[in-house]
Amino acid sequence: MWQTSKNLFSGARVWLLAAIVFLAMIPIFAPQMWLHLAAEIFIVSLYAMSLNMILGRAGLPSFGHACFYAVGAYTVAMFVMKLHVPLVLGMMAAPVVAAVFAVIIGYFSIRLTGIHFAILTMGFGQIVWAVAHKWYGFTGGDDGLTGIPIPSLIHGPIAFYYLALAILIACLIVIRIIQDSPFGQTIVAIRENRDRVTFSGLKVWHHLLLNFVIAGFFAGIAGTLLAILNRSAFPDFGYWTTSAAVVLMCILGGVGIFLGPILGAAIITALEHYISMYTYYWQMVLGFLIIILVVFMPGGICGFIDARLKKNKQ
Amino acid sequence: MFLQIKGLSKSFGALKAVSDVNMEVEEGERVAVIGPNGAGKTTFFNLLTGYLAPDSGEVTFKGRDITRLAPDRIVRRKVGRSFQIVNIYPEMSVFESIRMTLIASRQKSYRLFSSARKLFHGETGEILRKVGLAELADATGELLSHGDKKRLEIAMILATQSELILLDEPTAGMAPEEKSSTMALINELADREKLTLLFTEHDMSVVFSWAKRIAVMVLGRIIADGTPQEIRENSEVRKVYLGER
Repeated sequence: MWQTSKNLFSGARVWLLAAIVFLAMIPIFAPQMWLHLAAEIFIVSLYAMSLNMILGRAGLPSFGHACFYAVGAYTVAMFVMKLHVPLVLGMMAAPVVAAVFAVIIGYFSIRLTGIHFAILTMGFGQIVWAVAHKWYGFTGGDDGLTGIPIPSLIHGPIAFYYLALAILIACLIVIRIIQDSPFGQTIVAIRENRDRVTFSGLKVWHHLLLNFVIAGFFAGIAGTLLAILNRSAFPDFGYWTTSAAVVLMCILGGVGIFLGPILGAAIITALEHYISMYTYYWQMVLGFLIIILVVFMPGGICGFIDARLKKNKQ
Repeated sequence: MFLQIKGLSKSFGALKAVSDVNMEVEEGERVAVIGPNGAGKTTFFNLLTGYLAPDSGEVTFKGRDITRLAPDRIVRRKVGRSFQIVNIYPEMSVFESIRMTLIASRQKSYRLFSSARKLFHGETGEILRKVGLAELADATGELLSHGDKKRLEIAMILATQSELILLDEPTAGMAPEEKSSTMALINELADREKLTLLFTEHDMSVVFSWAKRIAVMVLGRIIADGTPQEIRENSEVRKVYLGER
């Protein structure tokens, strides 16, 4: 389930390049409503990729990741609406503020594993959500902060589509570099055998904390884009269901494969969008999807395809 | 003194797992710690490697106090250990496991923006040749045979450049031929790399053929410490451990 694969995606640079060219050309023929959905998928994809640094790479089930997503969104909203600074400054501050939250939350939770880590991260996430939800004077309470002024340059759906795509690709490159670095390898080693890493002379929790903070940073970037897309920041961005949904996306796509979480993010975001047009019970479809997934594809969709490809090769 | 242990004690509730242990080990020695199950051998090793903190006592390595240091700090002082149950990276290849250990022990683990793939190729290959795993470099850890897993674990300890190595039952669960080839490898490496060994072992034939000094632990105490010849002739040891009347 966790194995990093070289078969499916990483070898196929040509395909990746083709996919990027294709994505860059979509605005030429696609209707504007699609572009809005596609941009949302890019944002959620980045959010899922950031969680996978904790969930897939470090093997720690965080159920509070939405916290950093929301902090990113609120930071940009507050910077622009309350401090009246240019949007781009707010966008740069947001991931840093999210990372600071990650330092604090990570410091207390990173020494735990499994269910305890899940519960504690969820608890912290709910505290942040509660503050956003109740503190009307500061965060706008359950109304959120609405009407973020957006510069005309990225006002239209086409421009925002390209902005989101460019930021996603840039972040994916950085995340990939970190994964392949000595640090990234150390995180995988910790997942595989903590004791062995300790007895190689390393402080395990220092590395896990840094990894947690980096993940929070990238979630903050995703949150920034989410705020711009919605022209608002809402408390629900940080609600625990937003944390659980992204865990599901990662597992659906496959946590062991680099782009797996993106596939999961795309499927769930698109499903939510299209099925909810016909029925309020779109979550029922999601429920069936989860059952099929857990029973037949424990490695996620990418893991499933990858295993098949390996079998064929043999 | 290379390794000096003074009055080391550890209790779990009413159980004195390790009780007032004193021991001195010279550089290059190979000491076997033997004793019945539950004698406190593993606890003793856990105290020396920082896995557990002692209730009292003192451990100095090469003149520096290492009592109560965290395990990773003790490893950085060049004290390595292997575990009773093989302790490897199950899904990493043999090559990746060694490289990972080199990344860790050479303090390169905080490098975020360079590729791990380019690191330590020569050194990893060299270590694999030393332990006879060069041909299995691309094999996945968990798919190795039991003996090869132990070799891999030993290779990882070598990669930390440890000078003192604690081996907790290095041949546990092995067939007789595997036992002797593993012990032969360990001794050959110890000769070549000038390592000091402290190991526990249940198989007396292994102990008496490889150890130059034997310490006998019973109920948390060292009741005898000497050459194999002395231990064999020690009446108390024969009575309580070697099973003679």
